[in-house]
Amino acid sequence: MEHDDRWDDQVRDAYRRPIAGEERAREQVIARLREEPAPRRSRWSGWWMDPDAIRMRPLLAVASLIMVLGIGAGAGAWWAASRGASIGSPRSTTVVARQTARGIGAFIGATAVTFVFRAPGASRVSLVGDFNGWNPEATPLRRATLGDTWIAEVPLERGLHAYAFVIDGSDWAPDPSAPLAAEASFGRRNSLVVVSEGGPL
Amino acid sequence: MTDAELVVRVVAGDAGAFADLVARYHAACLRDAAHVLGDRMEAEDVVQETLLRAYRSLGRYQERQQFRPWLFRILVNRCRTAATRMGTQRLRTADAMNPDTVTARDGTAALELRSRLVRAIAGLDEPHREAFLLKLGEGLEYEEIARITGASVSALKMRVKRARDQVRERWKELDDDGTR
Repeated sequence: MEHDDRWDDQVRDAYRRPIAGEERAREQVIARLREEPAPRRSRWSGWWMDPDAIRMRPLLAVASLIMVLGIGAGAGAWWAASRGASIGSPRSTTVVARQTARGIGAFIGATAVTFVFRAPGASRVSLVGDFNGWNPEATPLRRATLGDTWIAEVPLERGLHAYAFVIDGSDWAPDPSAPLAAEASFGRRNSLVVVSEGGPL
Repeated sequence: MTDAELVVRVVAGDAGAFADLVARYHAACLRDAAHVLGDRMEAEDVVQETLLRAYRSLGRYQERQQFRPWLFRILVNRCRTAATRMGTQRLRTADAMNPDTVTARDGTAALELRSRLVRAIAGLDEPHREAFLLKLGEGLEYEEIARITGASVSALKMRVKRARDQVRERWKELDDDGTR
């Protein structure tokens, strides 16, 4: 049996030897991909069309509904309290209003972080990050009374989070007032926020 | 970042994230296609077509699926189509694979090792070669290979066993004869 394993290893070793010119071939593929239009989520696909996506016991479903209503009420209360808050910098795009979450945010041990983004001419803005699976549908920002300014309050776990804003569903933009992540792909970099016990740093 | 997170980013408009997936899987796709088809240039074409198809189809990809088996299923189908098109020519494996398929730093021993593998699997038919390479070469689980090939786990176990016996016998002959 041990002899068989050695033979398997030998075969695997032969098979996995790097193929000469693999990097060149890969670059060709990437160059070819650059000519392609970007793929888009098919209208009728997604987790909401997937019967296996959500399986929930009835009691858990009721509890979840209560939680969702709680989040809505908490967000509404916060929104009412924070209306009219001024933006830190005149031209921007700032992470502001650091505060400990009330309601459901506090319950799950997270800290509420308010993201404020100025995007003149945008018809919708959303927030994507490691906390929502980089899903542009998950966290839409609301248009503030100031017009060009968009706001979302998000309960975040303590730690380092990468994020970006998505304008009109397709244009990704980092937050110019926040530090940028070192990692870039095709020159696009994300912003970073550190959430500590007292709020974002 | 996981495969699923990269896919979400691509679909959301960050096309550059697909380059990370290409970097992750291109080498594995190329070696699988090169060994299945026994033709390096054909394998490059098949892999490029596979990754293009994957990119175009990403909008229909469901997050609960795993990206690797999803991608390999496209690859296996492209290889099957290419093998049919190539017909009997594809069994000129050893000549087509050497010496271009090993890097310069590999040296003669590695060249000989790969040459022997290519010759040893040359006699396998398509389904046996597919199963053998995905199992022994890529080290995938049977359940994953089943999702890729569409065959049942029990059928795959049988194919891998038969292929392994056959390849091993041929391997030993080549060992005895040098370069048959």
